Amino acid sequence: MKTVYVRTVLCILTRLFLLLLAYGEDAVDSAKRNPNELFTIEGKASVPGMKASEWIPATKILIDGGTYQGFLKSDGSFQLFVPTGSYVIDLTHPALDFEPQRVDVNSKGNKRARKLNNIQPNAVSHLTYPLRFKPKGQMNYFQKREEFRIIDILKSPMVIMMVLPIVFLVLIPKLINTDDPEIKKEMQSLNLMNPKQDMPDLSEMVTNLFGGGAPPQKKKEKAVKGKKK
Amino acid sequence: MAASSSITTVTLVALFLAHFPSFEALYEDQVGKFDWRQQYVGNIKQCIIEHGGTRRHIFVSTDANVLAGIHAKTGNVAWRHIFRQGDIGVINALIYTGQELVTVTGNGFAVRMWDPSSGVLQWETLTSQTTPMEKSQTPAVLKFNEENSAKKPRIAVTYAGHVSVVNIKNGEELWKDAIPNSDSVQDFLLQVSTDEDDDGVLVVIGRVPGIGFRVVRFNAKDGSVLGQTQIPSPWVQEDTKCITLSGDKIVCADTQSKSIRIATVKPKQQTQSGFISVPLIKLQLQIQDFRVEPLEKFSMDAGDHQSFVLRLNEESIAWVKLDGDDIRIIQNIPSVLAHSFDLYKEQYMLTTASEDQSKRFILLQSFSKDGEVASLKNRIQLPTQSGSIIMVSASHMDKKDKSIGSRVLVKTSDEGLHLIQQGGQITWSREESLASALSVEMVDLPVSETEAQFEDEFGTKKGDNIFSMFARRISTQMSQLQSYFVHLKKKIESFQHGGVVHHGVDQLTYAVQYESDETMGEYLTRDEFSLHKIIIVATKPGKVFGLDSEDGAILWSYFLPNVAPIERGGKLTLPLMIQRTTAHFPNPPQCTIIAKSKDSDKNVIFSFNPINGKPSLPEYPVGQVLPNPLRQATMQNIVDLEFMKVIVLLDKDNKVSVYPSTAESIVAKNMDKIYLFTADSTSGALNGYRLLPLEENELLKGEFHPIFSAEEVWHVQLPSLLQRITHVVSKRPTEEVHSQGRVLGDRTVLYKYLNPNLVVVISEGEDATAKSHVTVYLIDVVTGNIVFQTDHKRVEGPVHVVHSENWVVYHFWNNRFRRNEVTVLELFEGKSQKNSTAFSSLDPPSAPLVERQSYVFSEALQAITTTQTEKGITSKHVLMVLQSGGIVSLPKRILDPRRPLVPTQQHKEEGLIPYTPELVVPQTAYINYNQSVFGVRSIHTSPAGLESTCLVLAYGLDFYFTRATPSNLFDVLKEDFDYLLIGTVLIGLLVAAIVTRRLASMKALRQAWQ
Amino acid sequence: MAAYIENSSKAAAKICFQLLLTVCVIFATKTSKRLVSDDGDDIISSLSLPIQHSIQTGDQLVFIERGSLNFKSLTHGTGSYHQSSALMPHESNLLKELAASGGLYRARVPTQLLSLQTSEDIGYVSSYMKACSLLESNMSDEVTIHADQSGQVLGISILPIKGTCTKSIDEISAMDLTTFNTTVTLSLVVPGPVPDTQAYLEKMEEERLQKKANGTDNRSFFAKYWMYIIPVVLFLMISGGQEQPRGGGGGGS
Repeated sequence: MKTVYVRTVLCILTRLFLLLLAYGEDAVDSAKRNPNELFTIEGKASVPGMKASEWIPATKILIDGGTYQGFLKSDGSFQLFVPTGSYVIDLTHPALDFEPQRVDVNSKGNKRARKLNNIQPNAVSHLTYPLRFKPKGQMNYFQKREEFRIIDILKSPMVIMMVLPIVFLVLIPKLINTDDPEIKKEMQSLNLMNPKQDMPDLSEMVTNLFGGGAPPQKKKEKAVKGKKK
Repeated sequence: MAASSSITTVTLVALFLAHFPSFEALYEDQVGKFDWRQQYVGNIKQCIIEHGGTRRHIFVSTDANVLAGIHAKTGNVAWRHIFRQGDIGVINALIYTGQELVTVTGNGFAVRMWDPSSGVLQWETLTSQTTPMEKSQTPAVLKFNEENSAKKPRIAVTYAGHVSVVNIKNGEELWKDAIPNSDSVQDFLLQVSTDEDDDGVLVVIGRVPGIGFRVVRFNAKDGSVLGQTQIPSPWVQEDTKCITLSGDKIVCADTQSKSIRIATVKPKQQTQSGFISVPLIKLQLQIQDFRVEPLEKFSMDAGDHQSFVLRLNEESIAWVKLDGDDIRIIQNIPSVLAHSFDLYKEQYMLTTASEDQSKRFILLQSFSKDGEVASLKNRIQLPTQSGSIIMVSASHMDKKDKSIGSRVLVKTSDEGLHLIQQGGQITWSREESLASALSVEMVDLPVSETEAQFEDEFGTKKGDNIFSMFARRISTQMSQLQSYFVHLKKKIESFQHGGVVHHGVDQLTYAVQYESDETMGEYLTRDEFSLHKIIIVATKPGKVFGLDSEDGAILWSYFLPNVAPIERGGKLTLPLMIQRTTAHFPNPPQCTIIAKSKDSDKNVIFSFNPINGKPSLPEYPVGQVLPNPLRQATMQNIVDLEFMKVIVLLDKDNKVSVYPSTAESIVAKNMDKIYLFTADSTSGALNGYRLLPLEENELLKGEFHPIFSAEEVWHVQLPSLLQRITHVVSKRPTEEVHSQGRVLGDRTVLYKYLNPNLVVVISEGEDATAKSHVTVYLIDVVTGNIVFQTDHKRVEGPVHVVHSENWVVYHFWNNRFRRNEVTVLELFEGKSQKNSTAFSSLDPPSAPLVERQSYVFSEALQAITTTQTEKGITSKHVLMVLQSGGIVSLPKRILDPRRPLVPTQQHKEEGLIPYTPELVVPQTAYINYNQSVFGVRSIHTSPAGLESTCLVLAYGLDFYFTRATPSNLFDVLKEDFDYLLIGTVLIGLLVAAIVTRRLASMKALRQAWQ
Repeated sequence: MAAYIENSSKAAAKICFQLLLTVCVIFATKTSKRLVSDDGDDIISSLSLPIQHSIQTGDQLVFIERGSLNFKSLTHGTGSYHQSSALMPHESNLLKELAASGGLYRARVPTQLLSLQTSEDIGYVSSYMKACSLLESNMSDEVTIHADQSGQVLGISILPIKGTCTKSIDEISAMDLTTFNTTVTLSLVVPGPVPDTQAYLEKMEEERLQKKANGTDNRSFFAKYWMYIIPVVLFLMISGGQEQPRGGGGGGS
């Protein structure tokens, strides 16, 4: 009798205890968790190579693009007061490029900073907290003008085609002594100055390949003879 | 995980670089050539002239929630902080201690201290640990020194039934206590007092209208409650003005009994003695309505002065001192426009501004408690279009010769600021009304006189024969030759003088008035490419400006003193319409503004000439009052005989009148082509109307009599319980569309759905599950046909929309993924066109194909618009003003809904860029390089004479003007065109050719002789 | 002893079972707390709307019943039109008058939305078309009902098949107008587009894998450099052609 009594009491007690565990935790938690409670996000921005007074007055802190607001102090540190949630913190300056970061603040006040990935918003790539901001570099707004370089002109094929032959024609005779009759003969044999009989040769050559024949040689002999005279 | 995301970004960047259309971007040497920026602060609420430190700055807090430091010498903004819009950012108090600048914002939520010279935040303290409430009351703020020591300055702030005391030096919250019994208290007053034990006591006095005051005394050091009492005073109403004075006094102005009530807040628990009444008749002052004001707003009056200001009848003031249980007048100054007090060598000085006898000048006088300081009496003349003085702030200091000097900052009813230094000259003026610019238009300049004379040549007079016309032409050409020589001479002169200078300031950081000059007439003629325009700006206080687009200087301004903007759907608007441009010589150009009258709820219509700012109808210098309040005013595309566009006015009884009234017959002829529509944002109802002639017996006589009635022809009802209509955006009526379709990869044409009557309606709100929701409707407003509707769940505003040609681009915040997104909708008719000449909504093509796509965007926006050119040939760019201050120009090609994820050969033929879900903004797309703009309300574009150029103006707290060339400058020789190089090469080759010919002929001759 | 053990084990089993039950109940209620249904209002599975029209000229608008529009389900699609009664002759004459004078034929449909806000009687959404174009299309028209997801009617659009008006007055008076030939469609809110990040990420993954597998460019040497080889060969051939005949000529003489 007594054991039965004790057993039922134990049953009830365990059940009550479990129930309390399940729901009570909720009740206690919701009393602790004020959804509007503000938490502090801390961070520091630094720009190597510039004095603080140069860049701090023009730098603004944007939280979620302006939904909340924070200000930089004179040493580059800042504190932001936000309720729980996930925020994008971005620093803007007209000449410096900062990388935005995402900060999650959970209901217990734990803060986690991670890389901003808009394509995969849930991807977690941890960054240091308290936040550290350093500029990626200068903002580069301008295109460079095409500068005028002599090299560019000289490299263009039109100029090369025009200038190089002239250079050859002028330079090479200067280098060789043209009064020597032998060299003169050589030069003429090079057929540089002769009228272009060579061009048709290509077609001649092709027809030669497919059919035979020596008739063109006679014409050429006559022409050469004429020239020599 | 990190590797994959980095690879993603790398491939993204690589793809982007490979396929991205090559960007036009600025060159560094183009900086400042055709763009300018101006920065404003807004309508100032409180103003403090720096009297400690370097005395260089003037600190202001404004209605636009801006805190700024202005250089006292030049009027430029030295530093500026823009707080959030709405109650959360409202600046309640601005306190300057001589070394620290403290602000209380958000109705007592945040207390911050700033460095006065650089504006950098020193510390920030919140008086509450939870997010601020939606509606909160104006807080009571008091600056005091604990133990009367200048080393321990403190500030006490009330917020949400609590009072907090913060140490001004380091921002530490010393204590915070709940104010007991503060339920029915309407507002608080703060006071410091000393205890019997000489401890500092902070007294919080809560006013309960109809009952009295509840007094709570706290120990100033640790916040322990010392005692609570009540002072019953049933005469206290909601609007009774009360102040606290040193020596535990409360003074109230009881207008009911026309007396001043004085009470002493007794320490400890003694029963309060209540208020002593001092009737004003005793003082022999003629009063009807009066108020009491403290000398300094947020601190106890210095020392034991116990003096305050009695403001009588809104006209005169009396500087009054408490004398035991009575009051004594120190100074009585009748007919004062504005006054201010400041401390000079521990004494209070009163500065007043009043109208001169002759009503043309303003008299500035300074008084100490012993009388007027004669050396500081000044007579100044304000600029003509300034309105009257409404606020004065002064600072007295020792000049170099140890005599007393003063600096006075004056605010006029047109929200302008003027600084007057000793000597009576206005050192600088700022037109802060430009910060609340509501409408902007750009107007071409008129052609020069000689050009105009050509119009005249082919005379309109009858009976002209050939000879007289010939004679006229000869004379015109002679005068043209003459003016050309004069022009040449001027150019040579100006070349010698180094350019024409029209104003004294190099880079205008705020608009400066031009000196009127004869050269102005010649300066204001149309240039070759019509790039020089006049920018017409209509602002909230009713002032209209004409700005020069070259540098932003004010050419003319006109102030309408009794006019206010019209409120529609929670937003303020001031419709500004260009009725006639300068293209119709000799008819003068005309612009019209429609506003609301300040005194009644009737509307005012005002027309003026945009070139010189003079009213078009000189007999109505401040506009005409319309007999019936209006529901809507639209400008139609119908012109009367004098080329003036007609404005159709729809009033509350659905009757329609026409402005100008001479155009009635023309409107009657075109009656069946005019359809009106209205959208009501609170009830979600959209109605369309057509015009019907009125019955004879309903026709009234007089100006603006209605001649038509508007009959409702269609009605659309959008859900309005949980959502509101926030945007109704139609296309610009003067927009040109160059091509009727797109050529696809297989050489067929996809025709665009170009419906001129299409309007985008956006409603924001919540859906049934309390998640934020945005719906976009495309509605044809002639038939009420909802062409397309789409919605986005878990998406929040503010939504920025641009609607042009056959596409709509809109931007919002996606709450689910916590990122910004941009969506584009593009409408097409299909492979065939129903009617290639005109679109009729009553016989429309079948339902259009709506291509749509959405992208992730990394930035939040302030404003969005599209470029507009004269013929529409240039490709369109979407201009976005980012919250980070930059203005970016993105080609429409990347916002193309047909962008494929995996491009096929046909897609490549068409020139489509492959789809990437993220829109990356390259740095070269910023058209305002490092001139960041904030507080931008909207951005306006206007076509220039050149097809490739579009003029852009972003306006709001900052103004920024520049030129955008979406397809580069394709119709003009580029700026760095190498005239020099080509010239030298040509001449060199010519010379070389001649020389070589000569040499060759000489050589041949020599050879022939051999 | 054994019986006692048996009893106690049975009791223990019972206790365990009951504990399990309680735990299950707790979990069930907890999870059901978390499951919030997305649609708060009842889904109307079918929709039937009476449609009225106004066919009179003159200032006073009188709407009379025309028929009803029925939709089987609230998906985007077609519905059916049922005319309550054929047009009476005097109504037909009124319509002809309306068409002859160039007036507007209006139609309206009731909507729930207005009555939610105000306590008036039923609100209507209405539209119109030119009466002569209705006759031109021989009483065939297209009615589209625009509604939101929960079935609330936002607007109506009524369009004729042929939008022009070419018939003369005699032709009009000769027409016999009794029944409407109406095609009915229901147009609902389309869910807005979302940035397609999934497909894009998959595509990126695929490309990455492909690139890994492919390796470097392994076309043949000739295929890569044919652009440079051909002109050199041609040049050689030309200069070779020169030499040969010259050589031949020189040898000959």
